[in-house]
Amino acid sequence: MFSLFSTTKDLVMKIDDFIDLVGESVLHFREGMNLYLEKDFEGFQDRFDIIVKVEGKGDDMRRDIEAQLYVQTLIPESREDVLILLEGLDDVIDHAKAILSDFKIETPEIPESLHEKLRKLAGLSVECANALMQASRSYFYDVNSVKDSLHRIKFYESESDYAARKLKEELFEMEIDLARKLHVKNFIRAIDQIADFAEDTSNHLSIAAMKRIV
Amino acid sequence: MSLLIFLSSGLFLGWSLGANDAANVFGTAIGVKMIRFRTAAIITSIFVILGAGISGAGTSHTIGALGAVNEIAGAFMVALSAGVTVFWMTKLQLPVSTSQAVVGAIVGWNMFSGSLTDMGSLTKIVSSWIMSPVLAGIISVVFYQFMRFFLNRGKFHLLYVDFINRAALVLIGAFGAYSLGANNIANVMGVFLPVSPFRPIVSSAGTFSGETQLFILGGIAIAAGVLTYSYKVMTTVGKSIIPLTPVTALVVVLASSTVLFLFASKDLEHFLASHGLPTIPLVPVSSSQAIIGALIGIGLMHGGRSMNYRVLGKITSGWITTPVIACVISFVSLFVIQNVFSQKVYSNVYYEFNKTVADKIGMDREGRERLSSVMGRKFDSAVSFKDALDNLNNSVFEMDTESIIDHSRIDNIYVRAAKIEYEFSGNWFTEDEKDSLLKLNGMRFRYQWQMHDALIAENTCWRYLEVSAGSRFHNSDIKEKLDYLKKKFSVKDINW
Repeated sequence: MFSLFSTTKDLVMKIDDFIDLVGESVLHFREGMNLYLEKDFEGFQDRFDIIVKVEGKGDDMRRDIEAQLYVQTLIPESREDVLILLEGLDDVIDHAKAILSDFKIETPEIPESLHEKLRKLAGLSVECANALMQASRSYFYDVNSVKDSLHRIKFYESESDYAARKLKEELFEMEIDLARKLHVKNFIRAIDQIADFAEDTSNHLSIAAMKRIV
Repeated sequence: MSLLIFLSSGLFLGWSLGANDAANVFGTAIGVKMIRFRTAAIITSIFVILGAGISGAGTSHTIGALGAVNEIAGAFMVALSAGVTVFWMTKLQLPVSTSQAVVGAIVGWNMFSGSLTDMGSLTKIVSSWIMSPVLAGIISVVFYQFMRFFLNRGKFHLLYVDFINRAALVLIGAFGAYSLGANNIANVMGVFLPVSPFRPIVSSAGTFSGETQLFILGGIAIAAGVLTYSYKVMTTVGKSIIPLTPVTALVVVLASSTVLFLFASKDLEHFLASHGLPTIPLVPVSSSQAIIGALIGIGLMHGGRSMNYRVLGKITSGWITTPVIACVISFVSLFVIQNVFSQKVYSNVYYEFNKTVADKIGMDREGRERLSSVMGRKFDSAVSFKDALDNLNNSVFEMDTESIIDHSRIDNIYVRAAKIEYEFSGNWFTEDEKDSLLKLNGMRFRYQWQMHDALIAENTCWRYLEVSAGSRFHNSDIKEKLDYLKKKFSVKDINW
């Protein structure tokens, strides 16, 4: 019984850390993108290195948590929901890293006039991911308050969609190469997708939370 | 050899009990996968054996319900009938009450042997069908609401809730298994005590009585039932009635054990009464029925839509048919074993109403005249004696037939203190009781009440007290002791 308690305590800490990692990764992403836009490539490289480590750590932690949940047959009723949630959170980390990786490999030429709006879009996606983080924490500690965060996720996701659409409209009105337009568009879509991933996970979370409300 | 055959039916009854009643302890925990079947079965087995060995032996419950059956071959068939019935119900995946099956089988024996059936025990069964689910249902709803409030306010991490829930399920399960062993072992093994082949083992750790050894053997039989065949009924309890969550699984076992503790515990009543506290009325409740009641309570609280009424119907009809089937199997099999295998399945109990009995019950002249036709006559069964009394009792005046029958029962008691030296080594009998009993050594009594009167003459501690909650424990203790002594000291082949 004592070993089960220490396993439980250990897992609680791991899950908390893993959720923190999501917030950390999107902040690194936003910072990295800003540095890229400011053409501080050295700083960008540092951020990229950090997010690669964060992503690797996140994968290891997720696998570790999942294995422990299975091996110890913990939370049998909510285990599947928790695994889906953890994978959803991990997708957000992976995606944040993938975008910075694409910035590094593809070095897109983003027109100056779009920088501010792109920053705003990234900010909305990050807020959306943060709200998901909060909802996930609530799911573990105070299931009744999950819905408050879900509401915020929805809001940020639709704001992010709107901002992405506006950006794309502006981009395609510009007098630049179509190839460049399509290239930049991919980045706009990818940044907007952080919010989409968060929303997908939140949809699942809302049902999982309903199941847990006693 | 024949002894082993006789013992085997008790062991089979134990096995059936384990296979069926383990579901009351861990069914819901298994259903929600909070505990693995293997873990639950091992915990149950260990605690059932401990309960049987520690609390089952040496207490006032040792005789068990089967104690009424006065021939070992009859006890064998009665236990076998109850065992077969419970096994049948287990095969149908229905949780039933083993003790009700035993009572049903005894009624079969009573009918076969011409003994009277205590209507109180039948009323108890029928009322437990209603009282157990109603009380457990209400308590489970109260507990659920409390738990909901507590969990919503507490803001505990899901994994900590899971841990506490799991620990509580294991703990309550272990206690449940302990009391399952302690409370049921007498029904399984009690009747075989007089023919037990085990002799006390004296070791440095203390004396390991034959009774304890027999009860541990019975505990092992129950444990074997849990380990080999209990999964089916556990699935019914844990999965088939309502969809359970780990929290409701806990609420259900908690409610069920609370009902048993509050409404069926004589020890609690004794404790409250002896401390001058108001007592809770004792009601007949069975754990198998309480657990189903708790599940129904939770199901109804959620609107009743998710309840599996078909399974519930099957379960409740199983409750009703269990004692009936046990009774029928018992009656038929007693007939077969007596007439085909020439085994004596009961000894006649004789009744004689005479002047001594009439004096004892304070019968007036008119009563004696009315009963003059049975005065001094010996009847070879309670039924024939009762029939004779009933024929006389035609509305002219009220006779307390029950009291007359009770006092007219010939028990042929020959007090030999050596026969109860093991009981004396325990603490069931008080020092006063032991002293007064020893003074009666070598004395003979035709009727049980004569022995009781003699004991009271030696020491008033044997006297019944005026009926009240506080005295109930004392009175039932005295009654159990007198019955035990009667059983121990009864002799058949004595020329009176």
